[in-house]
Amino acid sequence: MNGGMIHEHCLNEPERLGRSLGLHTRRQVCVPSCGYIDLTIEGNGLRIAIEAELTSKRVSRDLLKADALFADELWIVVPNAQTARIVRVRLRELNPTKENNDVFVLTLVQAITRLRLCFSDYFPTIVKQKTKTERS
Amino acid sequence: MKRNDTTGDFIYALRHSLLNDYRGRIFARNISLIGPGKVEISHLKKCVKKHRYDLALSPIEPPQLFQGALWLGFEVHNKEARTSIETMSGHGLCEGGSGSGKSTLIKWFTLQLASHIEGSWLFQFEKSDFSALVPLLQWLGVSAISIGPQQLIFNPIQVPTHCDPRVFSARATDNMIRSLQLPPRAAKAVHLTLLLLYEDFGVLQGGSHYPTLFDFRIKIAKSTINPQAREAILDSLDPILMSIGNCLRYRVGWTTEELAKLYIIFEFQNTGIPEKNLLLSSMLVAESSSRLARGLNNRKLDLWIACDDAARLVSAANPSDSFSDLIGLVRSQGISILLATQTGDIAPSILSNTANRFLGRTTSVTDMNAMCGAMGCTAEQRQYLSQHLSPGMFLCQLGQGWRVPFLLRIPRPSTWIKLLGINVQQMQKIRPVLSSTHSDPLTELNALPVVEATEFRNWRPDPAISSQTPTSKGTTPTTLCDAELRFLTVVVAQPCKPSSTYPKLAKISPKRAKAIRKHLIDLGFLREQTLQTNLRGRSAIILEPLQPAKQLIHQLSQRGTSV
Repeated sequence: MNGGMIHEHCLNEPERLGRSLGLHTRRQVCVPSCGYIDLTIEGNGLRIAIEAELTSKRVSRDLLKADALFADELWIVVPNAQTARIVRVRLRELNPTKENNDVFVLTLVQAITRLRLCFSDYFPTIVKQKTKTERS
Repeated sequence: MKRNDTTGDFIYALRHSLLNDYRGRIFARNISLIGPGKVEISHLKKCVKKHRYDLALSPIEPPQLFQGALWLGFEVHNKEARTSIETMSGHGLCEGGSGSGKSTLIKWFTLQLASHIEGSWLFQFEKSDFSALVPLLQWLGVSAISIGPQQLIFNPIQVPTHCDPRVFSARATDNMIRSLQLPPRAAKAVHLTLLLLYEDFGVLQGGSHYPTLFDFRIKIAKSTINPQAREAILDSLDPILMSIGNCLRYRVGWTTEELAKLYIIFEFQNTGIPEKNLLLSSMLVAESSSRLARGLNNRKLDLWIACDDAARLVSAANPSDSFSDLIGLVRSQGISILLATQTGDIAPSILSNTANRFLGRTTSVTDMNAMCGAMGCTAEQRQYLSQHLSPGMFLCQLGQGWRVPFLLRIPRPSTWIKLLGINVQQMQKIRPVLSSTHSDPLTELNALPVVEATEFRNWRPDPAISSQTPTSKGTTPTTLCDAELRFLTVVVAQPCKPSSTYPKLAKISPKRAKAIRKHLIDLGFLREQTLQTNLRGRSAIILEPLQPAKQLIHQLSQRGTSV
């Protein structure tokens, strides 16, 4: 779904970082019979589905879409910690028994940090260069 | 013989305002219409006797001022008090309650000085009775004109004749800081901007194409100076440019050198306080700078300036409006300033810089004590003055010659024609001629060369854009100010940044930016979102521009309005 400016902002930053790390990024990936995933990042044998959410309303659909895409991890990127808490509560309501080990509810900063951590081993030189330039 | 005595007493009583009470006025009317009766004669004698007795016991010595070209008025024994014109070269201060005769004193002195000095500027801040002087001055051979701020053609930042632009820029800066009541932080910005403008217009290289205050405003708006200082300058300047823009939109206006040769009555009664401050101070600073540059020091009096209702200018309680700095600068240059005030709230520096003092009837003893203290009156004299001063009677202290305070009575305006030897019939003959010349009083000044900045004819302070977008609170169109538009522009240009970054980008103070942000959200231009920008701590407030904001900025950019 095409969201507002904050929704776009939550996707732009991970996409930009993914590209700079040399990962394969795709926006609005079609999932048959489920709709579209906002962003997918692939690399190092991992496929991450990223959904930006400002509320907890569409979380159940996000889970379905991620399953249909055979994504290794689903990252639900939210603007702030309060929304993250609400989304986590909603997830627990949907699957009270099962632990969602492959679903992460992250704020934008947390998503960027996790992205760096996940793929820094695979592209160490690029990450080092990036951190150097950031520091300078 | 008895009748002659009564007539003499009657004239004496009238001259000394002894019949000003209700009973006295009835008796005066009876004497004039049907002649004096027993009761009237008895009352007259009582009044005159009491007054003479009071004078005999008066603790104030009569002056020994019998010679001189300047006729001050009458002393207590009804003799003429005269002094030299040079006496008036020091500044003067006149204090008196409403109806004490301050304006009459100014008018009388102006008439007295008319045939001796080159020019006179009479400033009226509240009333408009100085224009009555015009026919009298005309009869005395002096052409006087009465002009308001809309007819004036003056550029406050025009460099006066013979003056170095660099030196004048410092003086003009002080003047603007003082008259616009700007914060100290703005002083350097104003000075720098003035110098840059002079350089841009080639004034520093000797050019005579001067910037106007409009150019100054535009330069300040575009500059990268301290945002608070810039906002303060713009906030003060915009109303002035809107109200008296017609007067200020000249690159070359009337020079004070030319104005100082004329008798001008400046009628500023319908003008705001900042406008009055700016025009008065600018004219004085320009004339003073010009005289200083020409080396005209310790010269005889040739410009007489009088300000009626100048309570605000001399006030000690309100130093930001005070004239005290300026009166200290304009000294020994042949300029004399007389300030008339109603209250005793007088700044010490004003008292220090005024040599001639006049104290009229005051309604408050506290007000009277301020001037009495400055004149060095004894307790006995103060007691006497509090009970015996009447309208038209002043306690006077001169700067030169007779330094002891003395009582002075200004003649009634109705007797001036007779006292000054003006032939009434001749006056009546020339009046129609005068009225025809008065229909265009600026003829003489209009002949002076001026250069108008035509681009500022229909100037508006800023892009007061009317956005037709319906707001969240209603459907009425709203108007955005310059700062709000700037803020909106940066939000549209760089969306989704924390709200703390925008004040710096828009060059607005954070406090003001907060208010602007709330206003724009209310108007439906922006939306607030919270976004976690750090791993820890509170979420930042992110500003998202909505469609009306984008449309408005797009329209502005198409119109080519620089925000």
